Amino acid sequence: MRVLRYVGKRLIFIVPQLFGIILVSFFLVKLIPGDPAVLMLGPFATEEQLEKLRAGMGLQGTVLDQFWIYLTNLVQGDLGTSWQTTQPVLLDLFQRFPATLELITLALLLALVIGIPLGVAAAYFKRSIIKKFSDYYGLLAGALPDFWLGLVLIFFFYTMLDWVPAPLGRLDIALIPPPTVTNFLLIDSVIAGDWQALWSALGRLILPVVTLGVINAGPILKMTQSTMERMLESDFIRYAETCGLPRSVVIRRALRNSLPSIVTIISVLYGFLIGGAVLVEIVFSWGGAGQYAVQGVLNADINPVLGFVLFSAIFSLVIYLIVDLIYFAIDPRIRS
Amino acid sequence: MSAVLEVEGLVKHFPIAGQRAVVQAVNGVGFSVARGETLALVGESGSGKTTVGRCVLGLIPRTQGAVRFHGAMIDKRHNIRSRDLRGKLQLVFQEPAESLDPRMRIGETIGEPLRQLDMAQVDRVKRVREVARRVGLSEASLEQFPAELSAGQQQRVGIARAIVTSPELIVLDEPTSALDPTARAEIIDLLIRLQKELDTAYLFISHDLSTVRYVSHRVAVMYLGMIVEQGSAAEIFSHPRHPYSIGLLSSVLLPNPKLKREVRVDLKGEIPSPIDLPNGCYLAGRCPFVDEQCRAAMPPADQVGDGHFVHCYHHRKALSGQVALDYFDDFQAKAEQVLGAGRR
Repeated sequence: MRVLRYVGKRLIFIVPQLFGIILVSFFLVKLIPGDPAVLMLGPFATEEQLEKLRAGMGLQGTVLDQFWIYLTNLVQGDLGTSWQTTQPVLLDLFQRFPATLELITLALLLALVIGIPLGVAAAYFKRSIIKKFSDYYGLLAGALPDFWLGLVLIFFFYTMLDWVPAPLGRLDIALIPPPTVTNFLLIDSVIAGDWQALWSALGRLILPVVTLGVINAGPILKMTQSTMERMLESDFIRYAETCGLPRSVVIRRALRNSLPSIVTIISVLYGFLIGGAVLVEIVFSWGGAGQYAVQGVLNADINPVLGFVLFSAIFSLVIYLIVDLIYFAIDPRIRS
Repeated sequence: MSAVLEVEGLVKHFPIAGQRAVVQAVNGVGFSVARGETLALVGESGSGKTTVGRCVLGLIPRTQGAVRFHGAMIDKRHNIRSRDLRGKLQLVFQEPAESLDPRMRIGETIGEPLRQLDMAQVDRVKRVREVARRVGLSEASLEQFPAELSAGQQQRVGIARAIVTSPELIVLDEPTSALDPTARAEIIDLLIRLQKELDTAYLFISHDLSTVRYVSHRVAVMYLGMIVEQGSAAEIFSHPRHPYSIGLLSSVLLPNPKLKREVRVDLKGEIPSPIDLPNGCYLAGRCPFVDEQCRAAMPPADQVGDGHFVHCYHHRKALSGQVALDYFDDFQAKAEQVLGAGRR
């Protein structure tokens, strides 16, 4: 009951938070030079044609007027149209956001699978080779750019070994995509029972997921290791050891107490990766949301940028809410 | 009285990373603790008290010397974690909040040492309840988490967890220094009462002399990893002989400012580095009685009474120089009054 009330309160707060985010991003985007009307109609357009187009795009009047138009449209569920794709932004994002989410969710899972066990082992076996390895790993993962790793992986596993499909999007071009339900290709192909599409989608996910997972395991590894080290040196873990409790129990206790910090870093990474994965998306021609937004920025296509910011903000806020609920579950101090 | 714990010539040096020098934390410490007896290890921070406590439990390997529990050697292999010693040795930490797992309920925490002792679940629950009652924790608090308790209650949990296995020796590492005066008085009272009931031996590590006076039967004063004076609490507190003991006692804050205080030994200067100890007496650089003899060699132990040893060439001079530390008896009376206020 208390949890429900808490969630309700948080959801109400999301509205003003989103308004603030839209406000800031709208005016920031307006600072980008370039007139979309000129870009769209080319250099030979007359002033009348330009004026008419601007009016149609909600670009007439002062910036405040424009903001008001944007807001009223937004409330009606209209995020405007992208002049590049000539589609409503909402539709574009419904197609592209799942592509990015599918990629970064799997990448984050991989990062967890690498980062947490390695961090725990490095903290427990302090003078071991594992500790050395994890130190170097953390250093490398922090220093290497993800897109570079992506290119290297493509070179080895596609160009040289030909083990994986070409880095050209989410699905083999020869295949007909499964009917759209969620726009998550893996889910849609399972729903349709289209195993060929599932196989193709999985094959194409491998390299970008490995790229992002390997790089982003770095911060998770570091956080796990440092928190675990602190926990293992704490009095209550020392006491558990003096009781003769087996190593596995001692490690589990320490890990349980390290979880809040690990969950925090994961949530931060999750929110960050929506936009942070963009270079990897470009390398793999992923067609995800980040790539869409960057194209918008480069071509003075404002609506996709704002739409992307709005979607990411909602996503991040929801993630943070979920994380707070997880804290609720794992930390009795908050509950009381 | 048979000795529960015997320590002989204990030496512990810690290596310093990347150097050949070592930190000489403990330099030849010997003492014994009998059933139902409290030996207090007192000294400033950095004197090696806590290290001695850890060596006694076998939590860290020692460099030299012997630690025996009922005659059986305690070392890296055979220690508090070993099956046959499990539950017979216990410890209580300084910071109650940090010594309890924040994610475990109090009842679970108290029962933790029983988990590896082949005890049926039913008996365990019963035993936890009984011990909780003994230390004055309510039945309801067993379902709570540490953060919901006060520091004093948390330390009660720490003590309950220590006595749950009916240990023969408890190492108490500054168990009251993180508590406010009322909670401190209550915890001390509890420790004394439990000792009377259970006949447990305590190794009480503390820098808080007023507390030590109240709980201990015997006192060992440590300075730079050495016991400079050891004797019965009454002797040490009324007639300290080592200049360091005298200095330490004169630095006690008296609870009543009207009580007279004459500073007889003013220890000047800094404690020497434990990495580079002087040849002679470690106190030579700070002692008012110092002469050539002191700087040349460490004074041997001089027995001045029944079980009263002092490492000083000039302890007679130091003793005769003082009128008599009668004020400490005053202080003791006052302290007992103050501490007694917390008793039921």
